Amino acid sequence: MHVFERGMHHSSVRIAKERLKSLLVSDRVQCQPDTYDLLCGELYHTIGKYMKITEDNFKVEITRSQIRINLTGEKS
Amino acid sequence: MGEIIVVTSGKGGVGKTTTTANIGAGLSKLGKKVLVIDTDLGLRNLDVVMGLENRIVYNLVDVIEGGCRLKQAMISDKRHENLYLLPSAQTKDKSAITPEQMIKLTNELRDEFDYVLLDCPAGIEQGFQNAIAGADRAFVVTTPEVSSIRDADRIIGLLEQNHMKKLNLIINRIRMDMVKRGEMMSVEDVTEILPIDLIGAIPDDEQVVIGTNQGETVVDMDSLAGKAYTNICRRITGEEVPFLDLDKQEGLFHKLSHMFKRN
Repeated sequence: MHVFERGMHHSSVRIAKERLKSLLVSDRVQCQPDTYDLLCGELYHTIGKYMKITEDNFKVEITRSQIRINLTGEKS
Repeated sequence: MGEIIVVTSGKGGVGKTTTTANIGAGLSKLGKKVLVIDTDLGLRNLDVVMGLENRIVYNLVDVIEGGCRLKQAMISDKRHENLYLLPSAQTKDKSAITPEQMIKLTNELRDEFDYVLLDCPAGIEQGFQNAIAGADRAFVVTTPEVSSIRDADRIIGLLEQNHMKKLNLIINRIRMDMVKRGEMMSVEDVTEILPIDLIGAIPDDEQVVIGTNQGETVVDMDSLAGKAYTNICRRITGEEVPFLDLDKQEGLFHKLSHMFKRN
């Protein structure tokens, strides 16, 4: 049996997932990766004017045909 | 009425041809009448993977151009009852046929076969357009790597634009040892990213290379990948099959194969 290493801290998978998230969003909407962050920031700001939301629970998913905003951190 | 399924990926080398050959063989073993078609004009491979390379007389282009009848070009696989191959042309290129011609061909095939599997070439140009034109359903093959996932996402977008109604994901070459170390994305990681339903996950398996060397499909061999492919076939026919726990399975297979080796 191999010893469970501290490898998870250096996990390349975490880096891969972050890169992919960024890549796919910019591929899908055909814009630069930072645009996604700017977009999220503005959406959070705008929605926050009308509803009580927390940053932790606020998630924006962009697919090819939809933008999905999750407000509660629950998986639908 | 037969179902026409295209096996595609965008990225090359992720296992489309292996997947087409094995799902084709697997479905025929379940009693279905299956035709597998190699649509990669100029770079044919499905024949080699299936060990049928010496039986080719006519090919897909000959059939479409009317140079021969379908039955003359179709190769029956003697090891699998009800499995047939329509090989590609080695000397033509992608411009030799059109999507309209493919639609006409696949419509003629629906009455004859339970399933028609189209092995799609890599890329997004004419070869891809030809292969998807007549299909009812697409299997998108990816490996758990950044570049293939990115390409798979693009392909999914193109398939949706082309009004492909049924899309399923196949994740190929999972290495549980790397997943456990956090150095390879897991099945869950990939399905979180790619927004289509998973139909199966295939573990990385030496038997696939050994199979290709011998012109045999792994569904016929003592292989974990073969077992995973067989499960995909059962799901295609409507059976509910739980996904293999690759972690547990890999360990079990290694223990069993060691036992046999010692004897």
